[in-house]
Amino acid sequence: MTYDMIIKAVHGDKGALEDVLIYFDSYITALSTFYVVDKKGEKTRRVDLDVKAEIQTKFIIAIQKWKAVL
Amino acid sequence: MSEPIDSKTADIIISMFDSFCKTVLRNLSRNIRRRMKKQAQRLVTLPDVQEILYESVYNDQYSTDRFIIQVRDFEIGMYFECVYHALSALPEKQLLVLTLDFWYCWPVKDIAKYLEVTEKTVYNLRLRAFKSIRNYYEREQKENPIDV
Repeated sequence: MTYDMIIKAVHGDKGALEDVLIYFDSYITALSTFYVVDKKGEKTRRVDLDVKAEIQTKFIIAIQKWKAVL
Repeated sequence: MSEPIDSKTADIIISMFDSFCKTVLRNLSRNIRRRMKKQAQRLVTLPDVQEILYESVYNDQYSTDRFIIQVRDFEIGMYFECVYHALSALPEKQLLVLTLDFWYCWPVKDIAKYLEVTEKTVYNLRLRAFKSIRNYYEREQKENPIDV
């Protein structure tokens, strides 16, 4: 992640926002992962794509509210 | 767009932004999980009570062997004694909501209009009624495991 990318993303640049989303994609995927217990009682990990999309949407809004305080 | 800054400041800004993003994402995830947990708690209690009520709705033309409850201008009939007792114990408004919803198939909008309350209140009354019925069933099941 670069300084320019951050500034562009904060100003709502579409490409930069996409880059930020790609940068944090694995983290968002990890946060959208749930354990599911099936009928046999086996526990499996599953990514909830609806949750992931919701996090991404709200994250884009939050990025544009960010202000650097030095 | 951006003013030229030295690499040290840029690094600080990058780490600040990184920290901000991770905090936001963590909080978003927590909020969603909390919301889903609440929804799941509500949903677990509803289907079984709804099933009981749908089974109890009286559709038969014969007037014998059934339990009748009169609520305001409405009359509801049911087959099962346990449902009759569970419904009898409900406050009038909650009983009225269930009556209009399950026996008379009124939409929520009309029920709200009839009771002069908001639609949200109707949902809350129904939810409270479900919880009471469920509690009644659980209590009965503990006392008389075979009957219910």
